[in-house]
Amino acid sequence: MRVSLNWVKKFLNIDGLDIRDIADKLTMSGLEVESVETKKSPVGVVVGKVLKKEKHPNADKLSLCIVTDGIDEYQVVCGAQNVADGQTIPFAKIGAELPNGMKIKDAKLRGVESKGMICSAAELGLEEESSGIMVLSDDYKLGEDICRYIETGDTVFEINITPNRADCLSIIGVAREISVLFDRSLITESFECNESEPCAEEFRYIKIENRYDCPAYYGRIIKNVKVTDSPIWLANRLRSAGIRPINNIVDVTNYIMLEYGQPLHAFDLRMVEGGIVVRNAYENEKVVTLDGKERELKSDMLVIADEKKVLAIAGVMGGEYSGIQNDTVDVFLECAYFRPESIRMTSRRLGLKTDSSYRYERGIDRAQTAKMVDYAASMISKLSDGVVLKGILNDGFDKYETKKIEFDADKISSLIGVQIDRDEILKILKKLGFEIEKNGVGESYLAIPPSYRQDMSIWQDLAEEVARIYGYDRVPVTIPRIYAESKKPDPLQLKIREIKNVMVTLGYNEVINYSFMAREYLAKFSEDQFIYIKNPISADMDTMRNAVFPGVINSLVKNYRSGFRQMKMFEISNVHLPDPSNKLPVEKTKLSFGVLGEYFKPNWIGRREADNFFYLKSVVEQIMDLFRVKSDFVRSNLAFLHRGKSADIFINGVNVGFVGEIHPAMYEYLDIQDTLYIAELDLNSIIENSATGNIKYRKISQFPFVYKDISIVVDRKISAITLIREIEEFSQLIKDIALFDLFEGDKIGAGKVSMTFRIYFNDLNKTLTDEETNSIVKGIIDRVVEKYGATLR
Amino acid sequence: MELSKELENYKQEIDSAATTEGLYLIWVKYLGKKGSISLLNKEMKNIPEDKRAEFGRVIVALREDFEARYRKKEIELKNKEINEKLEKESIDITLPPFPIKRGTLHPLTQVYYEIVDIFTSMGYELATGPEIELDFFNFEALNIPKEHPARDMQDTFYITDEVLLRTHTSPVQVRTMKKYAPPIKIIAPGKVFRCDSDITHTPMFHQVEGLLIDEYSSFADLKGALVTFIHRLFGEKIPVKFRPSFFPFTEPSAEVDMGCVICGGEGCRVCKGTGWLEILGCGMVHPKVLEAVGYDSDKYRGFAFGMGIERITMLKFGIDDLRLFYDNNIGFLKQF
Repeated sequence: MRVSLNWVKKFLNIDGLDIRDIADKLTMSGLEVESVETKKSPVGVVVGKVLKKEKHPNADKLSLCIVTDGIDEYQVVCGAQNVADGQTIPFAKIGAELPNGMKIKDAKLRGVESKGMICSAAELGLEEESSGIMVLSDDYKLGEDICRYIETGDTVFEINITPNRADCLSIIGVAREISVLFDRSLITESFECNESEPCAEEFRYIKIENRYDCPAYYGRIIKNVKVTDSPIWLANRLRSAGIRPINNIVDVTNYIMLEYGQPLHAFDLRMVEGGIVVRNAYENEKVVTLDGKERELKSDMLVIADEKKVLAIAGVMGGEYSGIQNDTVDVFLECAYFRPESIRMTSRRLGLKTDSSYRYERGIDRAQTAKMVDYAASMISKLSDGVVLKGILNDGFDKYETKKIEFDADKISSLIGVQIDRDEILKILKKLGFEIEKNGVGESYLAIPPSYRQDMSIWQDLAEEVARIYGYDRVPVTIPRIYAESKKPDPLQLKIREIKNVMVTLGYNEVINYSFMAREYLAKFSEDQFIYIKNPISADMDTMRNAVFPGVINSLVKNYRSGFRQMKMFEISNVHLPDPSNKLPVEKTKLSFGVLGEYFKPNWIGRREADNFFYLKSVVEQIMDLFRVKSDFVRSNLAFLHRGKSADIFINGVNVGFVGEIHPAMYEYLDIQDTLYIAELDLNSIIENSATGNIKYRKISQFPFVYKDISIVVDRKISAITLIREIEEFSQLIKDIALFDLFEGDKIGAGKVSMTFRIYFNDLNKTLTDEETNSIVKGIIDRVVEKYGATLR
Repeated sequence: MELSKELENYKQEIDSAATTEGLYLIWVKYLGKKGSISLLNKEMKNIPEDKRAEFGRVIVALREDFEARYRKKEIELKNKEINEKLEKESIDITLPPFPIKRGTLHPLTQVYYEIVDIFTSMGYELATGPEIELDFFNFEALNIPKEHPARDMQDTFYITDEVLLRTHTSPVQVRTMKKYAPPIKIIAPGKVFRCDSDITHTPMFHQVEGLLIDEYSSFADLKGALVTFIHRLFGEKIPVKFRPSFFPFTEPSAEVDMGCVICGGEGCRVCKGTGWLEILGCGMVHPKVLEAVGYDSDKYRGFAFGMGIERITMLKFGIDDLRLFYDNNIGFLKQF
């Protein structure tokens, strides 16, 4: 909120206070001053009078004026159309400096000397744009500094008001806060309203049909108003708060809203047929609001209506046709209290936020509502020459309960963590407008918060008030005692960190993608149901991803477009899948990693020998090793993968992910020419299916390892893993097998493949002899020849 | 008896040997089975008895001299040959190695773990919870009923009227408290989501929240916990200040500022000239939150705090554009 210090001065003498200090103290007590804007005052501008106005001899649009400051006479050239004999005007003498930095010097305009300048309001910094010079009241004394009569320079604070401090959404609220911080007394106003016969009741009535949402509604009628522009001082105050002046009636309602935080609304009485009815809207009832838009209302929204139609959406915005027009003669003035939740609901559902709804939904000061209608009526009558009719219209009002908050000063001290004197606590609360009562015997008290502090309800609220006035910076810094008893850490979280470190060691760069992506994109990878966001930021972020790898692919492809041709990336994230039996979806943690282009960056040492698949497969196995599980690779049927170069990964028969090259159709869709391999592992499933418990030590042999190599040729359809398993299981003495040579070619016949295995043998109890190992090797050969049609090379 | 002058030639032959192989041939020539020195032993029978002893000494002396020269030369040649071998096998050790290059952790992950480590070392336990949440856990239980203005502080993505993307990690606090009795001391990091996207907001970001519940912690303790944390993260000399603020789930509430780490408090673009950076929100847990999870709010109390990991990461690494975190540009990622 923007707060003009000139305006604050109406309620508080701030003479002698440093502006920076005020801003700092406000910030440190909870009203964060985000910026301080200073507007300069004009220097050397005095009250002058136009004695004579003539036409400029050499220019049609200029005039030649003789101006006096009460002592001397000056010849001044003036360009304004509205300058006239006898006007009292702001006169900038030679040497004067205007707020925009302009310095007044001797000048010659079209051959005629000009000794000074007659100023417009804009030139004095009072408005943005002026159509002519400013005409002053004839009561002002000639020669006096203009600043004595007109408020010129100003300082405006931009304050961030937190949702609890509705009381500070007004000048008086901020003034009250400063008065507490600097121990200065607040100037209070009383509001009287000169009423005239006849009684307002003879013209209109008020009927409240929904007292729950509208506990109080007051109205006044002002007759025979003249709708004009507001005086400069009023317009200027509105501008300081960032509100555009409209006319003298509407401006008064805005002025009082800014000053006291009470939203008001003025209707053209002509448009109020019969009386005011505060009721719920009819389902789908329509109204065109002041901003010219048609709004469709729902039956739980509160409206201000007359006997026939909706006049305004209560507390949010008035109707276009019921508002003040240039030819409005009689005004119906509304000053009400609406239930905050009701206004907020309406405002949110209509997507319509206004200064009024903003204040109502945070809670205005109920105690002042009846006074504000008088304040506004008398101000309108003053500014528009209207007549206030006798009596405040209303339909009774619900009494509101004053809260009594029980508190114990010691408890407050203990919560804050520093012993504050009971008397100091009581003093702070009293300064803040609380009434304090003793609550029986002992240290218990009752605090009755002022009507504008609707945010106060429990003793902890009082503790904050005490702490912020006492000063958060005066609270000591102590170290909390923490119980050493602890719970077992989540194994998944521990593993995630381990995996991330392994992936980095293996050369992968971690990426983080948004959890929501475009529906069509995700659908390229999965035919499953997705979870959709009702109010996405944009259509390409409307679907929760059910897998991590579309994000990794997205990152790889994005960088590919920027010219990178060799990348390894990984991501670990939670993904979401619908769960028809639960309100909340299933959340799974997945790891995905992918490689675009060559696995290793170009180097002088070696070309890529094998398909990238096998590099990724080794990464999968390293991750599995972290969980101490063995995985099986089975040809995958996933549609987005290359059928011949992809595998589903299983642990004990449970599918936990996949690895492989993407399908040619995906290359086309993604529009990339380099190879892309991608893998994904479901970490929850791996944890569920991995062994728990400690590793069991196995005795190691003291006798040497020996090895034998065998080379066999088999049909290409026989998979390597089949042969390896066959050999592995042949004898207990076989400890390891390495496939170290593999080739296909004409030499061994079409459709055939040659594999050379090195088989390592070891016995716990003795050194193995050649005869022993040879006999095992012979057995193996016989077995594979018989079972797989292998031939020996 | 006189020894042949030719016998003495070995001296010169050993001297001029160029390789260990050549040298060995000289050994064979003189000391081999049929070597000329070896053959001298056969002469012994032809020597008169009284001269034999002397002849023997001459042979021994000759042998010893040969062997001494030989060994010396052998070492010399071996060294020479090893040096030649090393020279020949020498590689350009400045050639680039095989490109098994370390990857990188995302900068957010690095700071995430740095923060988590500080708090876990202080005794807090890591807690996590679902990213898609019920309105109850994200708002209601945190004293943010429907139609409360505080909901404006967090623009929410909805899945259904009741299910949403969590807007903060606070629901983890609620879930933890519902599951366990006090004392509680957790740190809850994770992804959060808000319907907001511009130069200073991404619709997804990361938060870390902490919660401590016991019977006697105070606002002063909260100050202690956070000052310690900020000092561990940014250095002991960083000034820290607490100022009143508002969160529906804490009372009293505070915003924590620290001295600007970019300009050292002089005032710069990052701190908007104030010398201070807003870094944390915190407060004493609101009794309504304790009651919502079934705790006795007369008996238990505690504090909670929360911070954005992106902001801290930007400050730590001097990153000036929030959106870089989610662009995943490889040139950016490889810097960390």
